[in-house]
Amino acid sequence: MLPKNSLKVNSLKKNNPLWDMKKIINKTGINKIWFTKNDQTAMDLGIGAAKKVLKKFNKNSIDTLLYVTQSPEYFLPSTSCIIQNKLGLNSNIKCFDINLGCSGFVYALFTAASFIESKMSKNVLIICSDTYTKFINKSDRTCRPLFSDAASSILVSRSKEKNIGPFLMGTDGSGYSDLIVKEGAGNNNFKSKSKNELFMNGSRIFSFTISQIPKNIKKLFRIAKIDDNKIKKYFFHQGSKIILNTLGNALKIDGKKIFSNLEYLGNTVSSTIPFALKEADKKKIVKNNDTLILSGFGVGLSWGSCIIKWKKLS
Amino acid sequence: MKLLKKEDLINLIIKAINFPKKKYKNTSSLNSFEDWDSIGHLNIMLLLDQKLSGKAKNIKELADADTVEKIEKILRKKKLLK
Repeated sequence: MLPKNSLKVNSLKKNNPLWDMKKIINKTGINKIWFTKNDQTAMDLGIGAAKKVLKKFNKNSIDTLLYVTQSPEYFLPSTSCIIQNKLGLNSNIKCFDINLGCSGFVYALFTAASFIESKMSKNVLIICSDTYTKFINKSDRTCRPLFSDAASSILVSRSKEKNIGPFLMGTDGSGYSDLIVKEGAGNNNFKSKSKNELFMNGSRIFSFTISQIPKNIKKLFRIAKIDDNKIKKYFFHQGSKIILNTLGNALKIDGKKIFSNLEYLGNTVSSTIPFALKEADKKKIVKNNDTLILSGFGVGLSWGSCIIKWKKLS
Repeated sequence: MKLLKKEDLINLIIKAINFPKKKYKNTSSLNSFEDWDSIGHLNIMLLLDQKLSGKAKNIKELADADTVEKIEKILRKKKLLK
């Protein structure tokens, strides 16, 4: 689910005349970004995305709701509780927020799969939603041309076959300050000296990605006892084109096997993977029983990858 | 893998940030070049990683090394520069 408002990245030049837009777009691969205005929150987007899923599925069968966001409606309560009420889901369900960004979808899938495998859940509704643009300074050359607001929703259900996993997750909290909104929370007694703005050290995030993710994927292959030949498509978190290209080179993957649609969506944080899956499915780029790699990485620093067999609910 | 020479490092940075080679006088001119920004720095890291057969990606300190001298110091410490 995208907000109504969008702009071409090139148009940012108007208020930032010193920006070299050709260079920026060439590196990021992003031509268009989407943003919410003051009257729309991440929760609003998330509910919109979930309603689309629930049109095709009986909401009374949902027993778990996982809400991935770093743009909560309030510090407390968990936004997932509010969503439970607004969607009219049963009150005997488990719901909680997952405060992760670009790795968030894979972590949510990991949680859903674990609950299902342990027979604690049958039908898990995952909603990913963020409005990073609300944290970004309009003259921030690193972040402004990159991030979009968006939400996505996916239903994970128990089946006879095991189609999700294995997973391989990781964390490096020493990099917590490389992508951060510093003010407004506990560290500052919940006050802000200035606006609560997103800061990203692009070089460090890039360095982390290219050093960790190829290792993570190669280890996942060893655990699953498969190799690149068995993989139909890679769905990396689409942070930027330079990251996708560099990962492809590091893993020696044919670039055509890496799915990309960030050109007209931007970096939608935890929604990049679900958006990509939906488009790939719609265009029949992936079909039932195709083996896919999903890999999310970023803020935290946090990362997670998994292998899935694509199996769409009929 | 051959060790990098300082001259190679300078040429690599010149290429990465599109510095006009004829204008090169000393490393200060590179350090202060406007195109050594975050995107330029990513290019430097990429080219270094290629030149060093994949070894540069595991050197976290390179992400913050925003001058020729800082990069040089790090690479010498890692025994990747002559």
